[in-house]
Amino acid sequence: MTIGVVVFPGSNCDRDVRWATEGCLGMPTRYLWHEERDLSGLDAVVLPGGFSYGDYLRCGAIARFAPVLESLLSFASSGGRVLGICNGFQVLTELGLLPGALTRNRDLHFICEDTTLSVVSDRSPWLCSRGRGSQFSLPIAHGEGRYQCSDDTLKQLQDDDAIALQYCVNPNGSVGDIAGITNASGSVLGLMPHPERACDQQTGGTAGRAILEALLS
Amino acid sequence: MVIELHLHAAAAVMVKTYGLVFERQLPAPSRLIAFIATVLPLLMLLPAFNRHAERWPGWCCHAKTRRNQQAGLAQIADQWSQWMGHGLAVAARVFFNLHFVERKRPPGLSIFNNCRSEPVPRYQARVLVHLRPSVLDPAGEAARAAASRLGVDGVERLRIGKAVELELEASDEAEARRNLELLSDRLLANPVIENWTLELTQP
Repeated sequence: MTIGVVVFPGSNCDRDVRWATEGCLGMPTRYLWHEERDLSGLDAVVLPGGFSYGDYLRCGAIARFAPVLESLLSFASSGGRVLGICNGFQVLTELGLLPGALTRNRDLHFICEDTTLSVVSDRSPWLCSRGRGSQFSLPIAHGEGRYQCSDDTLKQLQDDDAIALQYCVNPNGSVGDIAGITNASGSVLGLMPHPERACDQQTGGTAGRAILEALLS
Repeated sequence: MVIELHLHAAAAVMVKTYGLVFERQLPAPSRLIAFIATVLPLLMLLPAFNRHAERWPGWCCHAKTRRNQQAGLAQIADQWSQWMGHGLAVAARVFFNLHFVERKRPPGLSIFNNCRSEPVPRYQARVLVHLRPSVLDPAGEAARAAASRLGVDGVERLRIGKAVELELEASDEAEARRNLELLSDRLLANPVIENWTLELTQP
């Protein structure tokens, strides 16, 4: 049971994620350099936050063509669990594993604060330990986290019960207050808040543990 | 050595005409005539190499040649080794030229042009990427607010996009356009939130 953390040039939360999964939760973790293609032996993959490839062109637009993501597509289609945090969420939407796109925050500010989230769907393994409608707080840190999608896509997300998390107070102008979504089957989760920054009582609380524990549950 | 060079030159001429034949730049009857016209002189040349038989390396000796040599039929053996040698050499060169040289030639260029010296057509393009009208453009709104602070009133709408300038090589305009459309749709713009338009010119 091993977790892979993808490292793009410009990723800066890769070590945070490993600190959380291995240090706090005791789950074996290894880094995956973006040029690797071999995902054998991995049970879950995390795309961490940061600024992959400098976020040139658009966030995640260049990362999406990284060799490791070709392998990730087949990994995800065979049901492997994939967690995209912040920049990882942006990469997942560019890659097409999740619908929609993430754009500049409504007020153009980089927002770095704790936000209260509410669980919209508890059907996926990521949030099944929390009840539907329950609330918890996680830190966010992003400049381009405004989730954007067409009305049809939003309807599809609602029909699939794929909206995982909503902001209680929308900080960035996301459509439908969306903070995180899953794919139709629930095996892929993308979210803007950082669960890996909330895994230790001394530094930011433990509200993020449940999501990371779901990587290997 | 001299024979080698001669053969090589002959094969090169032959390959050029072969290209003419296989690239279908001529109608079918002419292709046949061109084919015969290239092969016949070569065949006529072959007996001239007979006297150099002893210079040919061992690989051109056919199994039948060896049998003949063992049987003491040296003359027949010589003749066989001649023809097998020439035939194999020409075939090898034709194969090499057709499969390794000709294949690298960019499509759409004349067979008589050297692919290394002929410049491939180059196109200039500009791809304009803009947010879809339904997507909020906070940067545009901020700039619009600044316009009124500058004293320029009446700016009703201000949307900020991107202009991407490219130069690319392609065999013709259709291919250039095809590549640019793929590039715009898959890389330069995200169709979920952005539209793009393409301007293509050839300098």
